Formats: sequence, C-alpha cells, structure tokens
Amino acid sequence: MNQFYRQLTRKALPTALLALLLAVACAFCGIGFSAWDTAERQLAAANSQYTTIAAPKGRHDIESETNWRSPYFENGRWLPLSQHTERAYPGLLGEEFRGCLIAQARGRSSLSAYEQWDFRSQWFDAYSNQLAVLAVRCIGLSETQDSYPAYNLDFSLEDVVCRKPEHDILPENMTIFFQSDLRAEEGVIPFKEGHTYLLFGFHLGPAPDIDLEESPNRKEGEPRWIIKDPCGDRFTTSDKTGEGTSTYFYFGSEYTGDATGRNALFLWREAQDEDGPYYILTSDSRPFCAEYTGDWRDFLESEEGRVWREEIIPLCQMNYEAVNVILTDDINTMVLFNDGRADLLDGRGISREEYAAGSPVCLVSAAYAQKNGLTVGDTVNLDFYRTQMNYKMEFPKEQLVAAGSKKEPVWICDPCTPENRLDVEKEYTIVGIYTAPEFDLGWQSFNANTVFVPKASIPDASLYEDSSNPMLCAIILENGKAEEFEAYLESIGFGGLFEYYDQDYNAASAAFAAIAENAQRLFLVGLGALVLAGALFLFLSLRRLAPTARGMRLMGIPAKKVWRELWAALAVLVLASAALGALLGWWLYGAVTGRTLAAGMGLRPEALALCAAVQAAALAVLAALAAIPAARPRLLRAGGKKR
Amino acid sequence: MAQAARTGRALRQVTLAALWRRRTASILLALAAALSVAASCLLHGLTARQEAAIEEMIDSTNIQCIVTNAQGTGTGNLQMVHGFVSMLVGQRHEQDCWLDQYVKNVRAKSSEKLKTPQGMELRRILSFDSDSALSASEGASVRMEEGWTEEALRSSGRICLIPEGMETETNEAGRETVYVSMEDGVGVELQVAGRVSGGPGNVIWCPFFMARRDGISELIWVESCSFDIGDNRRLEECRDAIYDVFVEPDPANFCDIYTQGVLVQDEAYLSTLEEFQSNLAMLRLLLPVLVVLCGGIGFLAGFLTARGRIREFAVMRCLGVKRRRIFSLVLWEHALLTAAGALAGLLTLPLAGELSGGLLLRTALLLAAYLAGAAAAVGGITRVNVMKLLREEE
Repeated sequence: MNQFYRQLTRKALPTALLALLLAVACAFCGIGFSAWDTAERQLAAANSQYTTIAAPKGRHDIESETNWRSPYFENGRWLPLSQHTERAYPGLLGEEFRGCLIAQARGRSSLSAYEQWDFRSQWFDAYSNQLAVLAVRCIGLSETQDSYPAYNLDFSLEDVVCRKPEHDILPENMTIFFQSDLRAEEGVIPFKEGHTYLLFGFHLGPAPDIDLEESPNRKEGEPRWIIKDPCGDRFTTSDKTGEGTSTYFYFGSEYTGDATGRNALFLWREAQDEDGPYYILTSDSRPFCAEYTGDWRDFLESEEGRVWREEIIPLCQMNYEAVNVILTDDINTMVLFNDGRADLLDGRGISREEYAAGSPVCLVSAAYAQKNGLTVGDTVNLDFYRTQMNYKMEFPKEQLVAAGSKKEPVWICDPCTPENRLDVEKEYTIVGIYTAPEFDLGWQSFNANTVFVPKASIPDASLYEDSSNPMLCAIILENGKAEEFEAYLESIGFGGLFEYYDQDYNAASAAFAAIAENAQRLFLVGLGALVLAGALFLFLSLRRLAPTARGMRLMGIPAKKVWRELWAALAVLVLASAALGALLGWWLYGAVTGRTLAAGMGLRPEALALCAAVQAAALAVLAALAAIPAARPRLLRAGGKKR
Repeated sequence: MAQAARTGRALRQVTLAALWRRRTASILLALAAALSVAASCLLHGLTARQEAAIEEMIDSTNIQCIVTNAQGTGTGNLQMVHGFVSMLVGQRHEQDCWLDQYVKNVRAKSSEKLKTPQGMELRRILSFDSDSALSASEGASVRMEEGWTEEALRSSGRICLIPEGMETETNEAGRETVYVSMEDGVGVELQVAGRVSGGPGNVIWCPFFMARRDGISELIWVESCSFDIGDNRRLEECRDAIYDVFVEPDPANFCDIYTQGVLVQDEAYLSTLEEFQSNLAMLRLLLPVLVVLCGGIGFLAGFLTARGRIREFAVMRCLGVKRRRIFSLVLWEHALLTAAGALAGLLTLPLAGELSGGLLLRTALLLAAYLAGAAAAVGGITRVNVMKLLREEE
C-alpha cells in the first residue's frame, strides 16, 4: 500500500480539513469562473440588443459625382471594407449590402399614397401604381427644335381603360400632358390632333393640397387639387368635377443617348431621315400608343388591340399587386429601424437562424397588412422580378437651383415586366408587422409596400445588391467603436461620410463595462484564492509527509518511486478536493443564480465541470512539481529541523 | 479581585506567547481574516460600481415613444391635431393636463405648401431632430445665426431656418427676413435665425407654434411626432400617463383625428436593465456565500490551531482554569488575529471605492462569521473531558 496514503488516512481529520480547505477554494474559483461565464453571456445577450451601424450620409452633392469620395476603393478597385488588405478598420464587424427586388404578391393589393391622402410627392406611387392605359383625344401638338426633336402633346381624357383603383379619386375631366421624341417610321409623329388613342405608360397624377376650406364643387372629404402645369409656372386649382386639370404622362427612365435604348417598358432605336436623327420603337417593343376610332372597347376586342388586351392591361394589373422586397441579413442595420422611426408592432423580427438559413419568412408593414387583412402567421406568395431602384429628386424653382440645393429624394423601383422576371416564386410566412412612415421623403426612407425577407431566401441574392444606394448598405460596427472607426476614416481622408447609430448603446456602455470588469475581477480573485489555498495545502501536506519520504529514502527506496507514491497520494486528495469544490460551487452558485437569473442564463454545469477539470489538472501538476524536492531529501543532513 | 486580574493578565500573556510560538499558524490565520476583508471590500466595490453604472444607464437612456395613428399603421402622415403636441409640451395645464411632466424631448413636424416663395414648403418643427431632412444622415447641417439657438424652435416666434443660398430681404430694423405666405393668402415675415446646408432646398423651417396672426389660434396638422419618456425610474407611471391621452396601437381601433396611438420603444432598455439587475442581484447574493465560506474557514482554522493544544488546555483545566475561561482565551487569540488581519485587509479599501456604513457592516458580518466558525471549533475542543484525555495520554 502507498505509505503516504496510509500516513494521510491515519490522521484523517487534518487531512479531511485540508482537503476541505482546498475544496472551498476550488468552489470559490469555480463560482468566480461561473460568474464570469454568466456575465459574458449576459453581456452578449444584452449586447445583441444593440446594433451599431455607420450609414452613408445623403448625397445632396450627387451632381458632382467626381467629387464623391468613397473609402470603398482600394488600388482603384471597389471592395467591401472587410476585404481591404491595406487598411484595418477598427471595430468593423461586417457590412450589410442589401438587395432590392420587386415582387408580385398575388391577390394582395399594393398600398397607394392616394388612399393614405398623402400627396406630398407625386413620386410616392411610382412606378407600379402609376402604370395606366388611358383612352385619350389629342387636343394639342407642338414640336420642339433640338438635336433630337421632341414633340409636346396635350390630351383630353376620354376614358380610363386601366388604372390603379385607388387613383379613381383623380378628377374626371383632366388634360394630360405628354412629351416624347419617339416617332413612327420615317420620323412621323404618331399623333394627330382630334384623333383618339390608347396611351400606355406612367400617369403622374396632379399634386393636390388638402385643406379644410369649403369649395362649391368639392364633395366633403375630397382633396382640393392644385395642378402644376409642367410647361410653365401657371397654377390652377380644380376639384374632381372641375375643368382644366392637367397631369403628366411619361415613360419612366430617361433615354440613354445610345443608338438603342430601353427602359422598363419599351425598347427603341435611333433612326435617321433628312431632318436628322430620331427615335423609333423597335419591332419587339410594346407599343406606347395606338389609334382607335369609335369605342375603345371594340378596339380592344379586335386583332389590333390584342397586345393591349392580352399583354399590356394584364401587365398593369399585375403591377397593382407589386411590392418592393428588400433582401437583408439584419433589419436593425437599416437606419429607420435602428433609430426607432420604424418598429415592430406585432409579432417578432426575423431571427439570426432564419437569416442564415434563408427561411421563407418576412416582415410586412402594418398599413399593407391592414389593407390586405394580413396578420402574423399568414402567408404571402411572392413572385420576384429584378428591378432597378432609383431616386427621384426634382430641382426646386428659381433661386434655389443656383444654390445647388435639391428637394428630398424618393426611392422608386422599376415595375414588374415579363422580361425581368426571375422565375423565383415563394410562399413567405409573415412573422412580424412593422410600423413606419407609410410614404416618406429621404435617403433612408422606404414605403409601406416594402417587404423584408432574409437575403439567403433568394438564390444568388448578391446579384441584386446595390452598394451605391445609401438605404441599401450599412457598415456594422462593434458596439461602442463608432468614434474610433470615424477617427480612423478621418485619418485616411474619408471622415464625415457616415452617420452613426447605436440604438442608445452609449447610455448603457458604462454598465456593460462595469459588468465585464467585475466579472473578470471576481474570476481573478477566485483564482487567487485557489492559488493561495493550493500553496497552503501543499505546504502543510508535504510538511506532514516529509518525514515519511525521508524514511523511505533512508530505507533505500529509489527517489522516483518515493516521488510517484507521494504524488499519487497528493493527487487523490487534489482530485477529491476539486470534485468536492465543483459540487460545492454548483450547489452554492446554482442556488444563487437560480434565484436571480433567467433559466438560460443560470449556471452552466459544463462550464463548471471544465473549470473543475482545469483546477484538478493544475493542482495535480503543482503537486507533482512540489513532490520532487520532498522525494529527494538531503539524506546526509540530520533530521528535518535544527535542534 | 486583584488576584483575578493578575491571573487574567498572566493568561493573556500565555495567549500572546502561544500566538508567537505558533507564528506561522498565526500569520496564516491573520491572512485568512485579511483575505475575508479584502473579499468583502472587493465585493462591495464591484456591487457599488455596478449599481452606479446601472443608475447612470437609467438616467441617460432615452426611451423613445413614437406617435402612430390609432391602428399603428403609420407614423409619417398622422394628420393629428396640434393639441396633442400642446399637451406634450405643457401648454394645457389650465385644462389640468400635466402630460409634459412624464415626457421630454418632444419632436413634432408639420408641413404646408407656400404660395410665396412659390414651390416652397413651410415646415413647423420643435427641434432639429423633429425633421429627418435636417439630420446628418440626409446630408444636412444647420448653422444658427449669432444669438439664436435650437431652443428658439420651441417658441412661437416668427423666425425661420432657410436653405443655404436662399435670397433674403433686410427689413427696416436691419434684420434678415423672408416673407412667406400660405395658400390662404395670409403672409408673415420671418426673421432668419439659421441656415441649412446640404438639406432640401425647397423647405423653410419655423418654430412649431409660430403664430401667423396675433391673437388668432390656428389649427396645425401634425405629420409626425415622437418624444422620450421623462423619467425612466417612473416608467410605468409615465406609460400610464401617456396612455391616458393616447391609445395603444391596435388594428381594431377606430382612426380619427382625436385618437392617436403611441408605441413605447422600451423593449431593449427593459431587457438590458433586467440583465444588469440580475447580475447585480447575483453579486449581492454572493455575500451570503462569502459569509458561509468565512464561517467554514474560521471553523477550520479554529479546529487546526486548537486541536494541537489540547494537552495545554487539559493542563490549564487541571490548574483550575474554568472551561469557559479557556474558551474565551482561545477566542481572544482568534479575535486578535482576526483584528490584525482585518486591519491588513482594510489596505484593500481602494477596491471598495470608498469607506461606507454598508462596507463596514459587511466586513463586520464576515468577521463575525469567521469568529463564529472558530468559536464552534474551539468550543468543541475545549469541551473535551480532561480525565478521559489524561487517561488516553497515559
């Protein structure tokens, strides 16, 4: 039998007490470690409540593109900041480049600014809701002389063939202004005064102003329309039954200036005649007008009207069900959600797991949900289309143009057309309903027709990212590192480009720091207690066992064997103490955290077991080291003490 | 009496001699006491620091409340009568409405088209952050003229912020002004109090309650409104007060101009506070654990030191010293060592931040637990039967 073990058990009480002392120290250290582990998890949980982002500032200086500074370029190549090799951005956690698509939500009607009585911008309904087919009569035609001669047309509205139903509050007797440089073969203007036409394009409604003044012709609750004539500064007021209302009809995107061009609806090419160049629709383009005589319904039934009947009108109706879809990896990286202007009203946000897995879940706006009778748990079928997200920002009048100032922008998406269909159709479950301004101006504003889905739920989602759109990108920073990040950008000449949002993390940062430091201190103190108790344990134990070791060596037992037996005896005690300490710590700390912390935040047995294992291993190693001199006493010296 | 005093003095000298004789053990015991005090100081320091940090967080966190329509479907085109804003900023005390005492940082915006200057818009705001068009994220920055501050926007003065580069006039008093008139033809001269660069060029901003006509109250349609909870410590009270005026957004609510909803964005604040407070509660509960540990260490120390002196106690008992006296002598030894240790432990006072009643109470509690543990051990040993012990020794 191990002589040292016998020696220790012969006087069991002191041995037990020493082991108990070590066990208590082990327990204290375990508690410190568990507190540190718990605090770290608490910090992580509390930290995850906050997202710090750097959002690109608005681009009111957009006209001077050459002056546009961007930190994204490295060696002349655009790269996400996280992929830069020559710069290390402090606090940079990642970047969010959101994608934007448009989708048809079958059976769900999109929201119109008209039904919200929001007429602050004519572009709020662009483009899908503005698609229309109108039956009109040409009442005025004039040509402009330019390198590409355009013509101006005035139409009177004969009838509405297809229009977003919410736009039916528009005046019945309105004139429509239209400007184009698209011509028929041989440069002929495809319109004649007095003739009737079907017109397809985007109908930009008038800009009304709501007030409470009574008007003899206006029914109660109807808006009073203030109509802007695009040809001049003349303002006329009217109401739904009034006369002289003028609106604007347009194609959408500007011409490219190339020999061929296209926008979301039409394709055209450049042609030449003796008077110069002109544009003409290509043979595979949809028509934007068609002359008819008699009733437009008869025209639609005819073979000539087939493309209008079977393609154009269904296209318009499909677009009345269009929603903007933002593909995101974290909704909180959007400025409006981060600064609280948008918030969840019902349900929950999309979880990290759902973002990562690309789960078919979505967030819809409260206004859209209410209009379509949707609640959390309902599903929306989305048929996706590629789109170009662009902004509309008109020049203000007169002196302000000289100052280079601009109006606030409105983000708009191209409409759904068969050509840009992605062939991706999915059923999404609504997990949350958010509230936000239904329609608003600004670089960071989205409208209530916006549906948020996990980016990974769409194949090749990165193809639809748009890093030039300030609403669609954000830099994700470590909480509390915004100032350091900005200082670094400043040092490399890119200061002042971003605005920082941290969901008021700064207010809680002192408490975060206190918890982190406290937890660390507690653990260090526990460690200190263990070191002290361990040293005491080894000192006292070896003092008791030294005479036995000396005796064994005097009896000729090899030092290695003495060391082995000594270490084995101590190791048993150390292991028992560590195990007892772990149990004691589990009981004490478990009782404490069970009373104060949520179930998920309580004691983690695996953390405590790991701590106990490390403690046992460390003490065993220390015991082995301490046993070396004890197993090799100086045998020539008489006794252990001076007499 | 004198004899008893002499005996007492002699015994105390014996005690001190015993302490010196076992100086290693004495130092260890004092060290244990010092560690206990140090632990107490540390725990106190940690708790105090965390409490202060949480207090600071409570005071400095802004809990934002967003006004929505009654159904919660929109926040940007409220068409809310300005009476709600009046209540929020404390202009309805005569009507016994004291909502302003529960909220702060009220932000509100209202827009109306202008007839003059043509194509422009007048925005009434309570502060810069009432209109996102003035925010840096929109690329805007505001420069106030000398003598003016943002606070002026809370007044009813006829002042304005204009886009940089906008033409102005100089009135008879030599002040820079802009003349604006609304659709109803009523015009007003606004003194330029600041300029906005990088923002929209078609907007003029004025104080939310700017009076166009003296003595005539006008209805202002509020587009958007938000505010912060006035006192986070009275969050529930503030919520109740807010919901006395507003409603909780619900799709079932009926929307009209007199009913508006409010969304209190306190989720992140509450869950963070809960985490912090549970951590604090955990720290507080560690004190009882430390007390138990101190008691245990005291018992161990008492047992180890007293056990080796059992024959000494037996001799003292044979010499007529009472058991209680021996017990008090040994406890006196421990008290001396504990006091020495405590004094040494108080060197770690900087860990606690500052000396306070709470800290002293905690320290006293720990030392009492330590002594109680030691007393239990010593009491057990000194209760040994002397005759039995001597017999065993023979």
